[in-house]
Amino acid sequence: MATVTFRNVNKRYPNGFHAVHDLDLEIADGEFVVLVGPSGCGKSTTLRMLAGLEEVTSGEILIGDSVVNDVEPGNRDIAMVFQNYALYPHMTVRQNLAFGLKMRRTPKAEIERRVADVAETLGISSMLDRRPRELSGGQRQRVALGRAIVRQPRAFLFDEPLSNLDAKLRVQMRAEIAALHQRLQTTMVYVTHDQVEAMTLGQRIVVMDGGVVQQADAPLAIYQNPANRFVAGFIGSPPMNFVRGRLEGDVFQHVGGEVLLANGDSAGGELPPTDGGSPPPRQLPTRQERPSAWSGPAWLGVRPEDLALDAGGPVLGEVTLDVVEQMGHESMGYFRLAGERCAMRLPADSGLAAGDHVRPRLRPGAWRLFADDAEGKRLL
Amino acid sequence: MREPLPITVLRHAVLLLFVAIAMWPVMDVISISIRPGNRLRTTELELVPYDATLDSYRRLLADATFWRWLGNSMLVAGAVTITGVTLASIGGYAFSRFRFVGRQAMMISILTTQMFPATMLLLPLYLMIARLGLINTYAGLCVFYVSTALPFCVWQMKGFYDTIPHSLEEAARIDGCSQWVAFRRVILPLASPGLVITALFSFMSAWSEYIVAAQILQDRDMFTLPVGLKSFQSSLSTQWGLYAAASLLVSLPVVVVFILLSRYLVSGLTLGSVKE
Repeated sequence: MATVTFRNVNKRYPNGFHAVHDLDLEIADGEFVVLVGPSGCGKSTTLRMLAGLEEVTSGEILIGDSVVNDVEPGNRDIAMVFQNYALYPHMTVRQNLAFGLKMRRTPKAEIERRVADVAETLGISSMLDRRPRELSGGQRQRVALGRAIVRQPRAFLFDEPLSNLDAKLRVQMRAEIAALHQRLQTTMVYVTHDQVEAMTLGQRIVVMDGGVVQQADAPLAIYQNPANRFVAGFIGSPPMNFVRGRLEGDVFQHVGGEVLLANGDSAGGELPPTDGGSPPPRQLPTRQERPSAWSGPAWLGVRPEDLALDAGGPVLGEVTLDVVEQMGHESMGYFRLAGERCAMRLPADSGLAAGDHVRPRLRPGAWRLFADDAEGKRLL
Repeated sequence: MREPLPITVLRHAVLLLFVAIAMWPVMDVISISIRPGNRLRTTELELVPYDATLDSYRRLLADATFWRWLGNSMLVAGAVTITGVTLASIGGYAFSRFRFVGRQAMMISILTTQMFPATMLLLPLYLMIARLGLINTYAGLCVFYVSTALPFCVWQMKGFYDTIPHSLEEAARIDGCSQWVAFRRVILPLASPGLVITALFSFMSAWSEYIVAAQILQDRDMFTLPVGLKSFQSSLSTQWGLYAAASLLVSLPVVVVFILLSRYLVSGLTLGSVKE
């Protein structure tokens, strides 16, 4: 069990590609941290630097209290689960599980006991004498997990371990990994591009893009208060809707119309939320409090579940539905507004179909404003 | 969909023609080896002549020099195989996994050496071996064979290692192996089909080589089989029966080795370890 610390870590490849920029991150002992982002965002490179499979260009990585920059992967006392399982094909499952212990000269009896224990826990006892090619995808992934667990390392690293499994198995294994963390309480660093995995597994999520950490926080905090437009668009499915426009005082103007975000008696930011578990209502700063640059181009962001016909807030505009997706418990309506593709929640029995005109309303207070620049920082 | 009959017939006819072209010389040699005396040419068409005899084989196997030559060939081909496989397995790994200064240039030069016919290299290599004082030694012959076979073997092994996913070594290194141990315990066993092909190539090229051996080896006692065979052909008379029988016996080990090792040539050993 150990903390993991990144201190101003940079990774630059010989070809000049700057994969990770000034990474500062502290992972607490026993914490489950998920690194998430689109491909090429530097999340895997970060994990591989922690594993010792990539060299650190500058900065320091600590496991526990010691800097591990120049420590061999095998001496870092970590275990890693790979996306492609990376089981040794010429060894049986038993030999695969025992290999790391054997390399560390663990006594034979101890190896046998630990292998049997882990196999029992993961339900692979009956497959110990088979070779990886005789196993199904899910079984292979279990063996790969077992190979990591049996070593009892100080930290587990996961590199997109579920992305090769089919959807049903993925959900099942996700729950198993969560249960594993519950039981072992060991530090886990998990890389994925799947924001659902990130939300469901992580105690803390680190969203990365372009080699830079965009935000690191608890899943719900990131969901409710994304630091910028990238995070807002990346976390959540379907993604947050964005409408580009201009903020003039209390009014957000866009191609499709005007939205009165203002306080006051009209449906605005100060109405209480419709249910208890929602974020606190957003209020525009009063005129006196507003910075002088308050007016100007901005993006209005609202999550699909906060956009509905009966949401009670201001009308976003008059739109035409392109597609209606029936999900069973509800349905999703898709439309275009000011050139952006948007989604809204509809009741399952709304009877609406593609081509229908609707007037979606914002749930009071459940909207965000982002700056209209490259960084897209959240204004409110 | 069923193939039309004329196409089937034509396809088989073409294939059989090539089979005949490939098989005829071998059949002919078998036939000559069991003819009595020195009847190289004959007007008879049957494969087994009416007076077939194993006399040539008997004489050959009773001849001590034949066994001596066989031993020499075994020694040389064995040494070349072991040296070649050892060097190629390590060299190919370096080319496949490491990025170092001059890697590209070295890979190109390895390919370039393959463009020269071995006969062209004969003179310079002969001079080199002569200066090293290795004329009429097995070591000289081995140096020659290894240096000509190695480029192909290294290239071959590199190609094989390229198909083995990096994550396997990475997993091994996290499991506590050094790079060398990961290579030896994880990568090398998986590369065994490649090693077999490389070994087979080294063995065959050394086993059946004649021109270089004829230049470097001078004592009749030191001859390898191909050179020894040629000595059956004298200026006055050639013992064709003996010659043919010896040719068949020479090719036998290669055929046996090939059949024994062919099961390793089946690829797909890495199946199931990783998912692409």
